[in-house]
Amino acid sequence: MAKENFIPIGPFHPLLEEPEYFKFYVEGEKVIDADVRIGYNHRGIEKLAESKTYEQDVFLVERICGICSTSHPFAFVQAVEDISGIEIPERAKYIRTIIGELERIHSHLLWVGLAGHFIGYNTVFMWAWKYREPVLDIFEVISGNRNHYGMFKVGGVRRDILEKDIPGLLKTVNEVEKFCSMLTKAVMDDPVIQARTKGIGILKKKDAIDLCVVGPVARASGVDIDIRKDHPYAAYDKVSFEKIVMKDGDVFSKAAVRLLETIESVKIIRQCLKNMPEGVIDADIREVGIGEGIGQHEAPRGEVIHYVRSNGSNYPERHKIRAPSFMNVPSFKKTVIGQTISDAALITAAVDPCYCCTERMAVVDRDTNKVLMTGDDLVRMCQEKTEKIKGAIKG
Amino acid sequence: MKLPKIRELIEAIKALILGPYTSKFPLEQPVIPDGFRGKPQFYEDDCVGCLACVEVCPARAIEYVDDKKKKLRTLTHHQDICIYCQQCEKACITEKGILLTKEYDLATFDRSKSITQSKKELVICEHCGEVVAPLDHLKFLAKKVGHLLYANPTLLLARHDELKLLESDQPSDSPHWRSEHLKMLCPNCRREIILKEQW
Repeated sequence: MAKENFIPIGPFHPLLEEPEYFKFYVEGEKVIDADVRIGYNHRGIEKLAESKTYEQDVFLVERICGICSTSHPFAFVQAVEDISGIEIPERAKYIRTIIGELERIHSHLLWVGLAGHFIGYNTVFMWAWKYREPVLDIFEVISGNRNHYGMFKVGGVRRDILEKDIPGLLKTVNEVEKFCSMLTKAVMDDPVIQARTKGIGILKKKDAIDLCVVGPVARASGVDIDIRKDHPYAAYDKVSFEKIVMKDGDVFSKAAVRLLETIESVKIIRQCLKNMPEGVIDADIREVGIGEGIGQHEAPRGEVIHYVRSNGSNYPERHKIRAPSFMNVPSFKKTVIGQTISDAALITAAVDPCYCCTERMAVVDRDTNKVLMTGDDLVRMCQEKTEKIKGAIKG
Repeated sequence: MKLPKIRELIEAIKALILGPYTSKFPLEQPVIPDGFRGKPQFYEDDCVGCLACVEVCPARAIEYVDDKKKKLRTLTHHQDICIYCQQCEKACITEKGILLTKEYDLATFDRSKSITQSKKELVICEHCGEVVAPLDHLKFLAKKVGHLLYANPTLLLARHDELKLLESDQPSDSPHWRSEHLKMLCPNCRREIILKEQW
């Protein structure tokens, strides 16, 4: 029997809401088993939320995640509004939708760029990150910050989108759409990327349903769920867009779903900017009633749920957060087994939990606990495989 | 195989003509849009030291220290704790006491320099020595309430130097003498004197 080795990954993932620890058991180059553990780096945000007012909590939950920093406040304010059925003004709904979709674009572009870097295709990395810049510039104009926008509050939004800014925003949005469709074609036509990602890390539809995965991971496997369509909130019932669903469930489908979603997001933003009604942006909520509420939002990584229980005071009595990666991470066990180590980095990346995890990867001999390979080696191996495929295609 | 190569070629030619997308940062300053949330700055002339900003700050980045001997309240905003959410600016009762600037380059080697401060003169209760409020805060309120100020001795006394309405009374040794009303008192002492006054 071949000597059994395992690769530990983690436990700290600064890019992710939930730091995890993976252990890939390998036989030669093949992964034969995987183990996922979560629960490191417990920050106590739910408890901390109980000691801050609802106004302050919005800023706290915004800092759960740096990349999808609107999805948590989005779900949180909806949970608080759900407690006593607060109706928010129409204009605020549209502004919320715009912010949520802009964030989806920049999060997906960031993912595509990093995935490109992982397979050694740095042109994609440069393009995607270059075209992500205008999106961040829009954020800077609308909210005053490139990240952590601080736009949400219970009962509305904090800042209005000024009429004089809208023509400029529409122009930038059109440019972003051009970039996105160019990038989508560039990634989906490319023979190297196709050879590298098609048929790798397949998550079957049945497994996806059994594991309750959400967001692009589920949609890439043919599971037809999108909280924006299934249970519309904000202005999502007033705009037309398509739900992107793919059948294959491999890394290529996950990339395709994300890229096509950016174009749908651009459509939503354009409709919102054009149809935005006049009026106030804040319902001016003085107090939150007694009861409990649930808020959902389709974050770039999937559905995020916040639960808030209120006892009528300024502070929430209980606050519970379920982030999408919590549901998506267990799918590694299904996707990674039977693949090679050089693909494992890409497959874990395809779920979009974290990239810096790979920098903490190391292949360790089980008997001697000696580090055989570090994270850099794994990325190098991943990139070398692409070079080989490139050579084969040219030859 | 051909199409992706052509697309890359077009991008490459564009990049050659337009030059690099990145800017030469320290030489070339970025354009900061209006409404950018930069470093908060205290403006001592307009700040009244009411602590509204301390109350709303989600990150607890603003601390205050009351020095009863020197009669001084020091509000200190720490940039290294601040999350630049603009809540302090929105909560400010004078609307000009603390404002966000467009300053963004805040990296420093010295933590003690990454602060902005506002120092306000305090009014101390003449009976028990407790803090009543900063003088500017009382003056601000006195102006804001208009004629209602004559119902509140604390506010009236805060504007005494401008209005010159009251003559100073003869001193007495009883702690609850009626003329004690016309002293700067904290709410607890004022309550006590109203209940137990002698004349």
